[in-house]
Amino acid sequence: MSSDQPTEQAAMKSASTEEKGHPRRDLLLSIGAFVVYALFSFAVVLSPNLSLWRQALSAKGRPPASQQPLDITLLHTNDTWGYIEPCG
Amino acid sequence: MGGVARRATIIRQERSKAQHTLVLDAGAALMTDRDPAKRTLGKSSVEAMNLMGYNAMALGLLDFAPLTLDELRERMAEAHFPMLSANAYISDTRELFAQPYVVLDIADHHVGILGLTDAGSTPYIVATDPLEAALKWMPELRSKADIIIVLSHAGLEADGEIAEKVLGIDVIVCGRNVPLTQPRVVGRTGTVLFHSDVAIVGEAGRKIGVAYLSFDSEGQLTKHDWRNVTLAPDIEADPEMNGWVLTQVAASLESSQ
Repeated sequence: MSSDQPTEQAAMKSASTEEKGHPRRDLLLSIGAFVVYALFSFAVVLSPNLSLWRQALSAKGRPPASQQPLDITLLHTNDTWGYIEPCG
Repeated sequence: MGGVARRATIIRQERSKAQHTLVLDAGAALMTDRDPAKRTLGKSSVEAMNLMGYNAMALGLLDFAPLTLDELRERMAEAHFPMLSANAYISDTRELFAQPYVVLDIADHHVGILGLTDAGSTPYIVATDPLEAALKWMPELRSKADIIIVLSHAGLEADGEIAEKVLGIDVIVCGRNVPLTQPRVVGRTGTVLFHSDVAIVGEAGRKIGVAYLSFDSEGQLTKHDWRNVTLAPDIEADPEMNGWVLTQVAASLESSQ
């Protein structure tokens, strides 16, 4: 019995040491998981916009801004097929 | 419904109210099954659009299909406005058939208009992916224009994708028979899509869209209002245009005898 005590004590000491190591390791794992999650989330959120951002960065820039606002009336047709007379 | 004489009246009325107007067509304007367009290989359509003062037109595959390239070049030379396509290539040479865009000076702004053809092919033309063409040409156009309009015969799915993925387009004027009866604003880019008419055999050219656009001093679209005008019998026919129509009808009758 007495020969088991040092072993038992050593086991308990070892377990205690392991218990002390767990929180630090858990913290590191948590931080790492959070970083991975954050990067993944950014990728998901930003990926549809990456093309737009690339376009914005690569744009040569618009010509010098005009001084005045502008109103335009835009009249538009489509698929008129060459019809000139009323129909239907 | 329809008729170029009533269309000309609406254009004239809007021009009289506005300091700046643009008259644009999103494709499939030249000819299909009816005279005089069929008899004249689209020449009458170009004449009508010249009389109404169109500023630009996008080429649809339907504009390419019935004509040889030389016949279409003749129509383009007769037109007082550019016919545009950023993605229609000559099959043999792989050269771009038409100019991809035009820049119009309005007041002290530069309005760029890019033309897109529906993807597909004819015996002489291959029209490539409209989205790729828009991405390719937009940087150059953005360097020259502070207001950008896309005239597209690409179809609503393609136009929607372009509106989502291509930066800097203020307006897309949509062609083809698509289910878009009200302007659509794409939140991500702010691009607004307009569409006017759904054509069927025997019924085309019945409507004209009228968009009132406000841009700030930097060319950003700040406001738009829109209405779609049905060219109903209660709209008076423009006398000059009506006279032209009558001569065309008479010529068609004469040629059929």
